[in-house]
Amino acid sequence: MKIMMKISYMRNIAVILLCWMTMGATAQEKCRWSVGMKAGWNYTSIDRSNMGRVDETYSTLSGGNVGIMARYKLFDWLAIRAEFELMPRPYKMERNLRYIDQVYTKYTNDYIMLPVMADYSFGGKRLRGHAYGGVYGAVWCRAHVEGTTFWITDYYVHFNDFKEVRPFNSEDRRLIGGGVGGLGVSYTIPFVNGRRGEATFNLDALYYHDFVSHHKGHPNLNDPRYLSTLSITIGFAYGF
Amino acid sequence: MLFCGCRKEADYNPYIGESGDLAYSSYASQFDYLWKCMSTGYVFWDVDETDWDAVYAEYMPKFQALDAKHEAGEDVTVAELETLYKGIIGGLKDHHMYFMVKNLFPSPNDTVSVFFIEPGQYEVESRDYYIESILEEQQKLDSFLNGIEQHYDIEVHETAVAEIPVFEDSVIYHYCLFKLPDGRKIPYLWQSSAVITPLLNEPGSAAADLLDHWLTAIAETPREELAGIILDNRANSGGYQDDLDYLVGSYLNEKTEILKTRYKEGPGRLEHSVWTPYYLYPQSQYHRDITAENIPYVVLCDINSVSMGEIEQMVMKAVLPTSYVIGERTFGATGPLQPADYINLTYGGPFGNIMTMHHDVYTSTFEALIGGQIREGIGCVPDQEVLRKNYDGDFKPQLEAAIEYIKSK
Repeated sequence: MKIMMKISYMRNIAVILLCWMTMGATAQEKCRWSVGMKAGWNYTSIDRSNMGRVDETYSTLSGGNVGIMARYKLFDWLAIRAEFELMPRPYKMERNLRYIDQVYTKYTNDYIMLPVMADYSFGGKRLRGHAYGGVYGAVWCRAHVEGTTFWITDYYVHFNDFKEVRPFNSEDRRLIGGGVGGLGVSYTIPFVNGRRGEATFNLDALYYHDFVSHHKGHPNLNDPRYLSTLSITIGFAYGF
Repeated sequence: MLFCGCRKEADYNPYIGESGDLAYSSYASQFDYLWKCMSTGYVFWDVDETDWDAVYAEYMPKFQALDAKHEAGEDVTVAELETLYKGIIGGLKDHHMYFMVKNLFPSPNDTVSVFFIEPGQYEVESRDYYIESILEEQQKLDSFLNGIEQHYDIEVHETAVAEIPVFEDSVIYHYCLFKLPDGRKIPYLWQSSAVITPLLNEPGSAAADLLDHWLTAIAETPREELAGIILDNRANSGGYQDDLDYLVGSYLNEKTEILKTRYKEGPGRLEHSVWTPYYLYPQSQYHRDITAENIPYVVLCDINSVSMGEIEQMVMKAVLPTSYVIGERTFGATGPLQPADYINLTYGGPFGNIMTMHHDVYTSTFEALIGGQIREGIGCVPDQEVLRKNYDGDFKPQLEAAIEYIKSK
């Protein structure tokens, strides 16, 4: 009985979605799909406990990101937007302890970000404002470290600069997810000579907020670490 | 704002450097404290096979049972605690480690309230070529060397005892200049600990003079009169890393990477710094290019060669082509460490205070990669194995093998 009810419920949702899309097509006879690319800059910070390591401080770093995007317009005011983005999400750890305060590590974490967002838009036909909200999955595909480390003997402290790939280990969680939201503006230019299509330029600010820790921790010593990234990008999309 | 509630909080983790106040008030909370400090600060989780999470699951109920017993008015003895902690710590890889714990609520039936667990020592004693403790061996080897003239033609024999404040026992040195039948000489040194650097930093003592004589004999004896060198690291309890400047740096011609180290950088068990190269520079005071002159440099070692007493020959094997190691596989304590006062350097290594915190844990600060391998618990494998066990504990066969090797070169 319960299964039957569930099927019926899902069928109703499908019908509503279909009607919604048809209405959208009626309301907007022109371009429903657009695909494009984007590039920009991001700022990443980490949210974690220092777990008793009292002199370590963490700070924000920036990096460049590029991606491709697809947008499906449901209504003039609402679209679904999905992206595939290569995003380094770097941050920095610095030691403040006397004698070793030159020690630091920059952690650069290359992620493939896969956000799916609702794109609420408002404004005129050409210049429009956007508000985004959605979720993302992400793959941590590469880790890189750079900094200064030390080695101490009985009489001396030695320092050494390094820059190398950091191998993943069993404590790393490489598939994570989170919530994404942001604001943007776009400017659309319809193609001339009666050709169907349009070109859209976007300026977006998106905030990615991990919900899943990239460090697995241990049953009696939970040590979650979350990245937050503000990404500012410009993009170009072709609508059809 | 919307997203803030979607993240979990970290569990409380104690500051490993705490030493002023007792941070726990029950057997279970003491175990929890030590378990967490080890979880975040122990440097060998990458090579240690102990399932530390399973340890918690197994032992926490046992400590809670001890608390219940104590609250019911019954005594908890040191023997009961020692049995539990031996099960927890006794199989760990760190061969420098000792774990000293004090009974929080001493039983009137116990004469002592502190117990001591040494996982490395337990492993070493289980090896089939183990004969005796390092202290017993040092006394016997000292006696053997005091009578060395009975066995060999000796041109010089000096012995000295040095007191080094950080060492509980005196450090014994024997310097001999062996004369081979063909007239060539072999400068020989036995050191019961590796403390050349502090001694030579303050010249004038008998031990400093002795060391200067040995190093000078190596540096200045004409090649045709110098058959080879013997450094005897048997029953060497370890000491100063900077001794490598004299024992290896004296024979290098250029800056040389001798090993790599790394330390805990983060509370995760597998979070380390990158491997950091440790370089030696040519040491000018006693310099000699023994590689170019093809002078054999033989090191004697055995199961009681510990820490720097074994790292020295591992480094020699890695960077000095004429070095040759004779004896037994060594103790296996290869992780350099710093005193508990330096805990904030890495939040790993020795921690605790037996008086105020009821625990004192001695564990490695660094993990070492020597000759491309992490040799903790393994030690230095000699080029030529000669086991004292096969000669009723006699010291002479290993020394004889060294002299024969030099003669053959």
